[in-house]
Amino acid sequence: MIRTRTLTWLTILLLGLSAGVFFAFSVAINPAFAHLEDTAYIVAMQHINRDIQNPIFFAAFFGAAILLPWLAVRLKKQGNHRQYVFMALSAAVYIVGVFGVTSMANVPLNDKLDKVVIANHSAAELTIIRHDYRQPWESWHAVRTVASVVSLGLAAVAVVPTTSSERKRG
Amino acid sequence: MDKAILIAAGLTTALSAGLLFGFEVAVNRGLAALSDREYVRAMQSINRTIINPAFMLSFMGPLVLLPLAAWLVADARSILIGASLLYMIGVMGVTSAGNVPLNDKLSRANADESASTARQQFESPWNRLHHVRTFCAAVVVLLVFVAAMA
Repeated sequence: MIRTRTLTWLTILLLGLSAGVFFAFSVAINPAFAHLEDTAYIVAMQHINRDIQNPIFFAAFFGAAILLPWLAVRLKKQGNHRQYVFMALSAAVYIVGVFGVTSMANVPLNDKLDKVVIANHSAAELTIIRHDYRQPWESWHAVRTVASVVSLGLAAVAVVPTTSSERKRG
Repeated sequence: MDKAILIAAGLTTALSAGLLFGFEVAVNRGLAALSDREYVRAMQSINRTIINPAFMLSFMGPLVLLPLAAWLVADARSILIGASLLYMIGVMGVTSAGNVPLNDKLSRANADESASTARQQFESPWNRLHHVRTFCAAVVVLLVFVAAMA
């Protein structure tokens, strides 16, 4: 049986890594890619969307989605009501706002973009393809970045001990 | 208090490692597929936009929080001192001595005239330095985890 402390740290570090990847796009990639030409933008995003599907990113992205609710249930069983509430909120925000948004919104857009063959389209068509992808993708990306940071904050509030009995449990 | 600091140190370190990791496994490979001119323009633009308060806070956070945690958490002091040093040298040091000078040089290149030369001088050394700092950041995250288990 994995110790609660081990589970806690594994969860917040994986959550932090996952949030960090989204954060990179929000603070640097998305604003920078606005300046790319249509073809370059489409090619770069197609590559990024393929390469991001690798075991390490998946470990962080799915790991947080599995460990957060697991940890919340563990805290409830142990009778840590305050910690349970915050961890359950963190899990809910992550599962809906990060995992849900990614699978319902960003992934379908990525799949559609992946099928685009640059050579088969005129410049005007590529402008439309880029526009139809980028606008919704970036809006949903903003949602999941905010959700991942909120989830991170809630998990941190959950695990920082505030009472002497919580402190004793370590 | 000590636990809150350790958590804050862990979170900022993981965020910063996640950001570097995003470039390592996805962004750099996506950029590699671009033409010279587009590559230079994209990198110039990334290097300008990344200088913002949210990024600076996560990137600089561990520099303060890791040594602070080392000071407060007696049980794992030596591991946290190691984590502080590794972040300082392997992430911040490599960035300021390696990546930033390359970024500065690239920022002066003209993407319309000398993109090919500018890219040749930038891309592979920058990516190599990026491997090093991503690896170091990942090890720091691991060390914080080990420290928290102590």
